[in-house]
Order: sequence, then structure tokens, then C-alpha cells
Amino acid sequence: MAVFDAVNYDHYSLLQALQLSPDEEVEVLNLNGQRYLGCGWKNSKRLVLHGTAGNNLGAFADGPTILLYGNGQEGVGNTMSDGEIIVYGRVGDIAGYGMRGGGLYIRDNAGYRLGIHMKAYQDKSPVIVVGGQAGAFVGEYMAGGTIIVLGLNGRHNTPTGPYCGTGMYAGEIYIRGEVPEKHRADNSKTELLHGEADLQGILPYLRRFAAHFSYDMDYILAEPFTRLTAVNKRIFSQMYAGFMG
Amino acid sequence: MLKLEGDIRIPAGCAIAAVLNRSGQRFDGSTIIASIATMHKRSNGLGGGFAAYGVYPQYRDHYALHIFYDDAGAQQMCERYLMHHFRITEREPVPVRYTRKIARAPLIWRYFALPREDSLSRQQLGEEDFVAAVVMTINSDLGGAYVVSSGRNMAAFKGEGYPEDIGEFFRLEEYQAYLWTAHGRFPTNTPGWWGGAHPFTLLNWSVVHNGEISSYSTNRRYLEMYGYKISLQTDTEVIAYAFDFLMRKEGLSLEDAIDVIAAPFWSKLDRERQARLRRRYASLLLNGPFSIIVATNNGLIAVNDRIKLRPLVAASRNEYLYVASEEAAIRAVAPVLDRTWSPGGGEPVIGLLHNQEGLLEAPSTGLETNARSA
Repeated sequence: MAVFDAVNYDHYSLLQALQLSPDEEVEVLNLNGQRYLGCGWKNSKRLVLHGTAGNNLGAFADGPTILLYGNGQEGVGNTMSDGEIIVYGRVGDIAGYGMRGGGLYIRDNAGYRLGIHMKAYQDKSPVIVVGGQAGAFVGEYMAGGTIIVLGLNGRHNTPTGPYCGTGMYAGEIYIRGEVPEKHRADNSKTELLHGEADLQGILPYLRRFAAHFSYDMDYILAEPFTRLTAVNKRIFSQMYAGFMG
Repeated sequence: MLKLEGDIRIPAGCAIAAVLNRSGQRFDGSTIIASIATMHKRSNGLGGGFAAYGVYPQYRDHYALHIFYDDAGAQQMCERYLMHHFRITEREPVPVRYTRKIARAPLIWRYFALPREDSLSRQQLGEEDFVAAVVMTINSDLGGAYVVSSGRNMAAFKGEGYPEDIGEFFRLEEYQAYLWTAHGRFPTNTPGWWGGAHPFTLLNWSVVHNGEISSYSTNRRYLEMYGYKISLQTDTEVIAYAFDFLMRKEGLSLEDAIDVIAAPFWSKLDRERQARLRRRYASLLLNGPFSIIVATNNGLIAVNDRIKLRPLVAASRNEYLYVASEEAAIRAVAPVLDRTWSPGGGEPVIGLLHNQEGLLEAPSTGLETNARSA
């Protein structure tokens, strides 16, 4: 395993050194704000990061496993295709932006626009699991895949902010707890789900989350979940209809 | 002064940062420089600047006027105007360190001044209104002279360059302040020039801003009706004047002022108070993406636009409050933190000195918004 101390590199040379390392497992110490870590990696390497990772961690990643012991900033997992990102901390806005495959597991909170425009593609279906709360606009313009927000650090009654699912036309959002009417987008419908029987489809994701961050599955399943899905799959189909002659 | 942008454009976004010691203990400028320098890639060298509070305790009752001049002629004309209206206790060039990284600097002078009694009584204005009017007159009517800051016991240091280079140029490690804010600029819609760098200030107010105010023209026309002259070619200027107008002139609480500039959507307004403010000050809604840090001698607030289209992170450690566009900028100067969080859209982070109840002397009330932290 190769170990790099980020203090010894400028930003660009660090990215190059990581890229060129032949080792299957690469560890980086003392990160602080370096962008594009693991960006575009098309391999099955394991990247272990310590510190605060900069914007676009794992953007366009296609296969690697990225463990971040610290917090992420904006755009974690931006447009990633495959692999897994596990954050032992919190992340900023637009985590999982346009994500089209793989898994993003966040122990604490996520910022605004979690999973904006994520999509499923052929056999790929991305998943995001957030252990804490997420800001407003979860799943904005969502076109596929699964977003799960657990609110396990329970500072609020519901773990997401307003405008949940705005502009969404496919995919599923699961929220542990209930989503008040005023936080939901017009185009969404909700169902309340209880326990393993109702949650079969996402149990593998929940188990993975529990394993990563040492949570008890019984505790996670002790609360009902709300599933939020789109009512109309073509929400913009009538948008300009009135203007046509 | 050169007012054109560079020929090369580098994709980036502005950076903002602030450090406050809530006990009022002062620390030198190297901390805020280290913080903003972490976000070097967010700016492109066309603007950097700092606001510092507590830097002139020996002149705490004086207005500290920092002024840029295009040339000696502009200085002569402006000083004649100043002498007419102020008793100037001290007049000196702002000390700078010439480096290869900072070019085309204007003449930079500072004056510790008190308004002349006869001028005040002739104008029938309160002291602060008088100073604000003088600033407006210099910026808009005296060609080649630009007031950089005009508050008491505070100063703005700004120019064309990367913020860390501007900090070195102005020798900020030689100043002690209990509150520092900083900005690294990536100009989008308006020119990069010395006067257009952030912070924008008026009296004790200073504003640093990442984003664009698409309501600029509406805001500008409204403020001009109340005597504000908008002359520095950058949208952020209206934010400084909007706070001055709402809080100093209209006497709004901080809570109300925030509900004016970052009002929730009309459909989400759930209280009559918010609706009344939205109607009353419709033209001061700041539309468009922004994260801003607004500071006075009492402390700071940091706030996003109502749907949070720009990044903002806050953190605290003991007596210190930190705010920045990126968490890395905070960790660079405080690796260990008690708490780190992202405020929601329109949800202000408020940091006040322990002995203060609001940004101005009027007390503000507790906050309760629709916005959510994450």
C-alpha cells in the first residue's frame, strides 16, 4: 500500500502521484481542500483519504472504492458511474450530482440538492444513503436510482428540507420518518412503509450502510419510512404547449 | 485606474472567509490570509481584499477614511473637499510592501477624521448620515477618488490581485483585529479593478460576496431614491447600502432585514410579518445566487440566497467563529473544531461580540426561519 502525505505535494502533483501509483490500495494523509481526488478513476483500486477532501471527490469515478475519514465539500460523487464512496463525516452541496451508478454512503449530514439529476442507466442504478439530515431539494430533477435519508442524528422531526423531489420524474426517495406536505414537491406521491417486509428493495443498501458505520439494523428499521416517487413521468410535457400556434 | 478585465479567463468562483473572536481579543492578519489562500483556485487574480475590525484603537472615535486616488490631482481635489468638512487628526499613506505580484496600484491614503461642527449644523445631518453623504459625493462626483472604507476602528484593504498577495501588499500581519473578513474575486459581469474588489463598505459596514445579484438594477434604482449613489460598477455595492438603509436608516432588526433580502418564496411565507416586509421592501429582495458575509464593529452575519446556490460553511472553536466558502479554508487555520455546519438558504449564521446584541445598537430578536441546516 502506497502512502502519500498531502503536505508534501502541490495540488496537481498529488493528483498525478495518486494516478500513477501502481498499488491497489493508496492512502493519503493530511488532505485539506484538494479537488478532484479519484476523479475519472476507471479501476477497482481502494483510495483511503484522511482530512477534508476538496470539491468533486470521486467525480466521474468508474469502479474504485473511496473511503474518506473526514468531511467532503461540494460535488462528492459528481457523475460517478460505478464504485463506492464512503464518507466518515459530512458532505456539502450537490453530492451525487448526476450520478449514474455505484454507491455513496455518508455517515453524517449532506448539504443542499443531494442527488440532483441522478439517473439509472441500463443495468446501473445508483444509490445514496445519508445517515444524518439533508438540505433542501433532495432528488431535484431525479431521473432514476435511489436516495435514502435516515436522520439518525435526529436534530429535526424530518431529515430533509423543503422542495424534496422538485422536478423529479423517476427514481425513489426514502426518508426515515415522515415528510410534511409542505416539504414535498407537487409532482410527488408518498407511501408510508414499515419494517423489513415493506423495505425489501432497499434492505441491501441499509445493511451496507449499517456495516460501514456500525449501526444496528433494528435501530434503523425501528421507525417507519416514507417513500417518495413521481406521479407524472413527463412533468415538462405541457410546459410550452400553451404557446404553440 | 485600469478598469478592463484580463485577457485570460480561468473558470472559478469567488471565495469568502471570516474569522471572529467573540471576546474581542485581537489577532493579526496572517490567520485570515492563510484561510483565504486555501481557496486560491476560486479566484483569478482580478480582485482580493479584507475588512478588519479593531485595527485603530488609538483613533476609535475618529472616522478612518481609506481612499484610492488615480493620481496626485485627484488627491489634491479630494483633500481640499475633505478639509472643508472634516478636522483631520492624522493623514498618511497606507503602508504597503511592493511586490512583483501587485501591479498598477493607485495612491492609497488614510485619514483619521472628525466631521466639522459647522459643516454638520449647516447640513442639518446626523454625524453618520453626514459621513455617508461625503462618501457618496467623493465616489460619484470627484473623479479619480474612491473611498475604500469610512468606518470607525475598522478598515478595508483591497485591490487587484489574489487575496493572499493583496494581504502581503498591505502588510496585514502588522495589524491586530478581532474580526477579519476576506474575499478572493472571480469577476463575472463587471470589471476587475481596484475599486471593484471586495469588501464593499459604508461607515462600519463591510460586505464580501460570492455570487451574482441579478436584481442589481432594481435594488440600485430603489436605493438611489434614498440618496445612495452607486458608483463602483459591482453588484455587491448595493448589498452594503441595502443593509445600511434597512438597519441603520429604517431601524429594522437583523431578522427583518434578512427576511427582506433573502425572503422565502411567496408561497412559503407563513407569517404576516414576513409578508408585510416582502410587500414593503419588494425592491430590496436580492435575487440570484449569493453567499455573503456582512460585518460591523459588533460582529458578522453570513447568509445565502433563499435557495442556496452558493457554498457556505460555518464552524466554531471556543471563542472563535469561522465562516468560509469551503471547509478547507477553516481547517487550514483551525484543524480542530467544536462544530462544523452548513447553514440553509436564507438562514443566517450570526456571530456577535459577547457584549453586543445586534450588528447595530438596536437589538435583534431570535431567529426562526423555514430554512434548514444540514
